[in-house]
Amino acid sequence: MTNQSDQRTIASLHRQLIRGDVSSVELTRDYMRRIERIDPSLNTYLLRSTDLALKQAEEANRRFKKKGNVTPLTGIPIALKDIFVTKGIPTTCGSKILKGYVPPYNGTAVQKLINAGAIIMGKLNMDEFAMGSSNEYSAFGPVKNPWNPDFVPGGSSGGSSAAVAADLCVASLGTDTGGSVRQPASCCGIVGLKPTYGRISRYGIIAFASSLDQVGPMTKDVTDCAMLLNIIAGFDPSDATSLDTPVPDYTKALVPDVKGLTIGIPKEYFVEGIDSEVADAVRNASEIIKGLGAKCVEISLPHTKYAVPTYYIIAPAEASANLARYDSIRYGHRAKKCKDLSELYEQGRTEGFGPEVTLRIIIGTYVLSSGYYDAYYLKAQKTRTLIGRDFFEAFKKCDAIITPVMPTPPFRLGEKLADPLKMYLSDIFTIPVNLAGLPGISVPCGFTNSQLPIGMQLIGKPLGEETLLRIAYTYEQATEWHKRKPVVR
Amino acid sequence: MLILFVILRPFDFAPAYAKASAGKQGRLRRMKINNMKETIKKMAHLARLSFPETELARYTEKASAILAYVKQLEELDTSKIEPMSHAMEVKGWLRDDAIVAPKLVEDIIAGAPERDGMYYQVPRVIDES
Repeated sequence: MTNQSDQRTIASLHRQLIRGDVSSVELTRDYMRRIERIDPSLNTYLLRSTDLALKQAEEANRRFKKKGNVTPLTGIPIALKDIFVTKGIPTTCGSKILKGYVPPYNGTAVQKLINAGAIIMGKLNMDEFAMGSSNEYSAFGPVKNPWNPDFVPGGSSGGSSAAVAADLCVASLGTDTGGSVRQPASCCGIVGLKPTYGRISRYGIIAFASSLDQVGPMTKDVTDCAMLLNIIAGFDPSDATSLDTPVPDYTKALVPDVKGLTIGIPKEYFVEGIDSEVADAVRNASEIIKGLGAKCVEISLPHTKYAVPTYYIIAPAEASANLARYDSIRYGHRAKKCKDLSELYEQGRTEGFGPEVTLRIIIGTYVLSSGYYDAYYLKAQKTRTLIGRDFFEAFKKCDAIITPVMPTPPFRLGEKLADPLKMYLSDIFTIPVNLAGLPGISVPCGFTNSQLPIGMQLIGKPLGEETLLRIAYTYEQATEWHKRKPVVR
Repeated sequence: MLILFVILRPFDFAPAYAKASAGKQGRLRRMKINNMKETIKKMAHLARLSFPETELARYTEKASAILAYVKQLEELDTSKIEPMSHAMEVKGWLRDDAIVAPKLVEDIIAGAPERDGMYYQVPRVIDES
């Protein structure tokens, strides 16, 4: 890959746009050509919003000319996971059930991007309704990992991670319910942040598990992550769970200094079963951070092993309720020749939902149904309390926690498809963070011998995004991992 | 072999007497599978889903494996623990009772796969009999 593409970050392009070295229209057209050429082999884009993007780029050109109303995102080509509803642009959520759905409004995060002058390049592939860890559960075919097309890009925001890694957009947005921003970021060697629950409005993201879902920036480096977060974070009256807390300037946290910070290393995350290359890369990263002036201490998160079972009760339960809205009547796919309303519901939903979504709706209905509620759902909610307490106790001893993002490097396409439990366990280190509502960031920290990316996860206190960005930035400045790019043709 | 292990796991909880003879165990296992199949069929109906027998068997296998896996939470004593529905404290609030965006109604109904003017079209709801 060329040097020029190495420099195509929000920060570097913003400087070029300000200087007039390149115009937003030129940049947008360049990305369109690149997508045209490269994406057929990766399958990251489900839809390219070419006309809209060019209109937005022309408007961005005008903004730069007038030298008014220019933000760091003005004129920057961004793409969205297809879970974000976009006014006038078809939105599928990776599912056949939303065939033909053209939302009448923009979600808050998207509207903020548009207001800032970002160019919306299109909608990115994903696991259907964000349920999956490999992007193989998309109704529109899997995404390939740009580092090696035989491997998965992670999921569920696999299109978002692969598109950023392959430079098919400057940055993207994903969503994270159990690791769906951090895990694909790790698989593709980019930066992915899941902020504190409520930091970014969920209004206009298609709901999967409402108490866990959170929007997250996916970027080429930590600086871009802070710049994107600055634009999309904040309270929103349209989301009753969004946090009414002032948004700091996250770029001010980009200080190359970790002195005085204590990093916790949870012993439960480095156990038997973790891939040795992953464990070594994350241990090396913690040594580097220590060498840069932070203190490292061992901590314990004793309920870690119960996080995946807890999640696979709570998330399907919430999903079964959220997905009850797909009725085959108001939007999306409609079954043909149904004799009554009941048949219309059943046939439309059965035809529209893919197998993994169907399975999770069944599980969710089961754990919420009378006779099973206490044994499953209530039990999981109580375990969730214990998992949250683990973190609360741990944060008495440290400012942030370092862990691997996933127990293995990216796996091969098809490797975990037959066994849902095997697939679920690839989120074992990211799920606890959603259950506890905490911020977590995935940062590249190495490569396997076969040249596949490895990511480390930094977990912060509630609203501790600045601390995470500071540690991640300090580490990034001391290492070169984020500069390595896949060769895609 | 791993797949087979996962499929059989949920039925490993058969009581000790079930292990008295291989034949009896086989019968009990089949009974459990059939019971679970009926339960999954009922859940599918509650969720307004329906599928043929072969798919029902597949969903039953997968759902049973997952439900058996999540059962490990039983190891924990949670008798004195409060349940958590949201990780962050959510302060409820109400907006002003004012009509906003009345045009949205037209935009929303425009998405219907079948409509009649400003109405959604559905098959007959009331029985003729």
